[in-house]
Amino acid sequence: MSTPIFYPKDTLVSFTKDEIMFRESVREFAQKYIAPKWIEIDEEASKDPMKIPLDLIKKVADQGLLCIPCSDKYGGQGGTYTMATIAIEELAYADPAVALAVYTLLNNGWPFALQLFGKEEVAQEIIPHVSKGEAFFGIASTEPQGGSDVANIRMTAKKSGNVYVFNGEKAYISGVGEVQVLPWGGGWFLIARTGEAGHRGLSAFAFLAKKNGVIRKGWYPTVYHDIGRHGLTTGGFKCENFELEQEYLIGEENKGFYYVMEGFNLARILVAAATVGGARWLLEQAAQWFKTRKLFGRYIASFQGISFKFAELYAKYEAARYFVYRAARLADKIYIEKDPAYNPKDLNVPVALAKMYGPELAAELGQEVMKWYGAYAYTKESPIHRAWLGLFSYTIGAEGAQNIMRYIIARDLLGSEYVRD
Amino acid sequence: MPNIIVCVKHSYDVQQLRYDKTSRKFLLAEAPKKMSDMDRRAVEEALRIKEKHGGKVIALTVGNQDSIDTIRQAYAMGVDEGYAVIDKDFESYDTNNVALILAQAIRKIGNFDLVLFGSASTDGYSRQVPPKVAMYLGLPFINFVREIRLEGNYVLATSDYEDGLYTYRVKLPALIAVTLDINEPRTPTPAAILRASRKPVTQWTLKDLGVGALKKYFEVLDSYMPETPRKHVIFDASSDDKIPDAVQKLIDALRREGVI
Ligand SMILES: Cc1cc2nc3c(=O)[nH]c(=O)nc-3n(C[C@H](O)[C@H](O)[C@H](O)COP(=O)(O)OP(=O)(O)OC[C@H]3O[C@@H](n4cnc5c(N)ncnc54)[C@H](O)[C@@H]3O)c2cc1C
Repeated sequence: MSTPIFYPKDTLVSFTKDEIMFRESVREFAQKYIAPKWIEIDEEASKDPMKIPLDLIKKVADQGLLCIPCSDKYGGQGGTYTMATIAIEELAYADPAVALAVYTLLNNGWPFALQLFGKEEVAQEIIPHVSKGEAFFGIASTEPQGGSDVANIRMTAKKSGNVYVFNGEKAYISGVGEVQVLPWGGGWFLIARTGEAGHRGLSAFAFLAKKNGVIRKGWYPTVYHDIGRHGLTTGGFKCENFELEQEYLIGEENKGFYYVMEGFNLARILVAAATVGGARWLLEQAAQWFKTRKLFGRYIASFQGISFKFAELYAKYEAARYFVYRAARLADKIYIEKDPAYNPKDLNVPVALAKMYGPELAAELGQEVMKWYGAYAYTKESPIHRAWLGLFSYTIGAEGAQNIMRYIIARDLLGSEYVRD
Repeated sequence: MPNIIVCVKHSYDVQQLRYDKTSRKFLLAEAPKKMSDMDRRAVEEALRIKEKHGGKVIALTVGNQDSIDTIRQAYAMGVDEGYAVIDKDFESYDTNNVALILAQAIRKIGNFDLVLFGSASTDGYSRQVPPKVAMYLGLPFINFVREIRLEGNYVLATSDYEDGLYTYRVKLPALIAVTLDINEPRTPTPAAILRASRKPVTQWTLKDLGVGALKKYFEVLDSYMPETPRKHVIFDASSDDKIPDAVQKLIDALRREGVI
C-alpha cells in the first residue's frame, strides 16, 4: 500500500501531450506487469542470481521500451531521450529494486551510443536483437584494479589480420548472466587498450561475447552474488585470446575514451531517472506510513524531527527530478534534434548534477524510510530494504562513482588546470 | 471484412478529479482528461476483431477542441482513421443532443458494419448515449457486452445483466456497447504514440453534419461531491481474548450495513 504524492503544478518540468500519453502508457504497463512481481524477482534472484526474469524482459521489449531513442531503421522506436527517461522513471517506480529498470536503461543508452559512434552494419546487426529483448547490450569498462580510473584500463586488444585479439579482465559488469541466457546473446560497449598508456590509447568495441546463440571462444565469465538489485546480474569476465572481427571497432582506433565518455553521459541520465522513480516509491511508502503510525497518541509526522526531514528529502527529490529532465531535454537537443547551438560537452555538468544528486537522494531517503518504519523495515517482510539496496548500487558507483561526478562538475566549472592534481 | 466505428469520449479522469472542500464542487478546470475507460475497451475490441477478420477501425468523438487528444490515443492504439466533431458548447449538451450528433457523424462516415461504444463514460456515466444513437440510426442494440464474436453477417454478443449472462445473435450492421470486463486494453509503444501524432484527424462542425439548433430535453442543474459521514464504530480488540468477540461484532455490523 502506498499513498500517492500530489505534485505541485509544474511549468518548468513540463511535458508534451505525446510524452504525457507515453508516461501513462508505461505506468499502466509497469503497474500491471512489473509492480506485482518485483519483490518475488528480487527474492528469488538473491538466492540464485541466474533467476533472470526473461518473461518480463520480453514483455518490456514488446512494449517498445528498449532502444527508445534508436532509429526505427534499426528496429528502435525512433523516440526521444526524454521518452527513454520517462520510461526508466516509471519502471523504477514499479520496481524500486531497479533490476528491470536498469536492464532497460542499459539497453537504451548503450545501443543508442552504438548507433551514434558505431558502423552502420554493426548497428544493423545488433540493435534489432536488443530491441526485441533477444540480446543484451551494456557497458564494459570497469576492471578489477579500479573503475574510476578509466584512462588506466589494462585489457588489451591487439590487431592481428582482420581481427582484434583481446586479453585481460573486466569486473563488476552488468549483464554477464543475461548475455549467456538470452537467445541471441549480445555483449557490451567495451573499452580496451589498443595503443599508448593513458586515455589516448583506448578504443571502443561492440564486443559480442555471444552472437546467434553461440558463446564465442576465449570468453570466461563469472556471475557474482550481489547485495541488491537482484534479477539483473553483475559479473566479470576474462578474455584469453578472444578474437573479434575488426568491423566491431567503434569509430576510430584510440578514440574510444571520448566515445565512452559521451555514452556515460547518456546512460547516466537514465541512471538518475531510475533513482528518481525509486525515490518516488519510497516517498509514497513514507506518506502511507505517516497516515497510520501513531506514537505517544499522535501521528508520527506531527513530530518535526520526522516531518522536517521528510520535507527536506522531498525538496531533494524535486531537485533531482529537475536535474534529470533538464539533462534529458539537453540530450534531445544534441543527439535527436541535432541543434547546432548545442554540443555534447554541454551535457557534462547537467548530467553529473543528475547522477550525483539522484542516487544520493535515493540512498538517503531509503535509509530514512527504513528508520521511519522502525523494526518492521529490518525484517524481510518489508520491501523497503530491497529498494534501498537496489538504489544504493548507484551510490556505490554503477555508471560512475559519485566523487567522479563532483570532479566533472568542478572541472568543467573551474577549468581542468585548477582541478587536476 | 468489417468496418467498425468506435465512439470514444474524452472524459475527466475521475481518479484525479478533486473537489473544493467547502462548496464540494468539482475542480473541472484543472482536472486531467483521458479516453473513457470503457471506450478504450471498445477500441481494443475493434482492433482485435480487425486482427482476426480484417477490415478497418474508425474512431469518432464529439467534444471540445481537446477531445482530439482522445483520437490521438485511439491512433496510438492502432485505429486506421479518426474523426472529431468539435463544438465549443459541447459541455452544455444533453445525451439526446450528443446522440443525435454522433448518429449524424456515423451516417456521414457511412459504410460500417459495426458500431462500438463503451456502455458508460467514466465521467458522465449516464449510459444513455449508446441506445439513443442506436435508435436514431435504427440499428439493433446490445448493451453491457463482455464478449463479441463475428460469424459471417452476424454478430454474437454476450451481455452481463448481473443476474445472468445472455448471448444474442443479430444481423450486421449493429450497435454494441461494452463493459470493462470485455478485455485488457493495450498500452501503446513509443513508436505508435509518435506515429499517432502525425496522423490527420478529420474535424467536423455541427454545420458540416447538417445539425441545426439543438433542443435540450434536460439540464444538469448541479453536480457535487456528496458528504459521506463516517460512523466511527470502534471494536475493542486490544487483547487476544477480545479478538474473537470483536471479529464477530465486526461481521454482524457489516451484515447490518448490507456490505457482506
Ligand atoms: C551494481 C553494479 C553494477 C555495475 N555495472 C557496471 C557495468 O555494467 N559496466 C561497468 O563498466 N562497470 C560497472 N560497475 C562498476 C562501476 O562502474 C564502478 O563501481 C565505478 O566506476 C567505481 O569503480 P570502483 O568500484 O572500482 O571504485 P574505485 O574506482 O576504486 O573508487 C573507490 C572510491 O574512490 C573514490 N574516487 C575515485 N576516484 C576519485 C577521485 N579522483 N577523487 C575522489 N574520490 C575518488 C570513488 O568515489 C569511490 O568512492 C557496476 C558497479 C555496480 C556496483
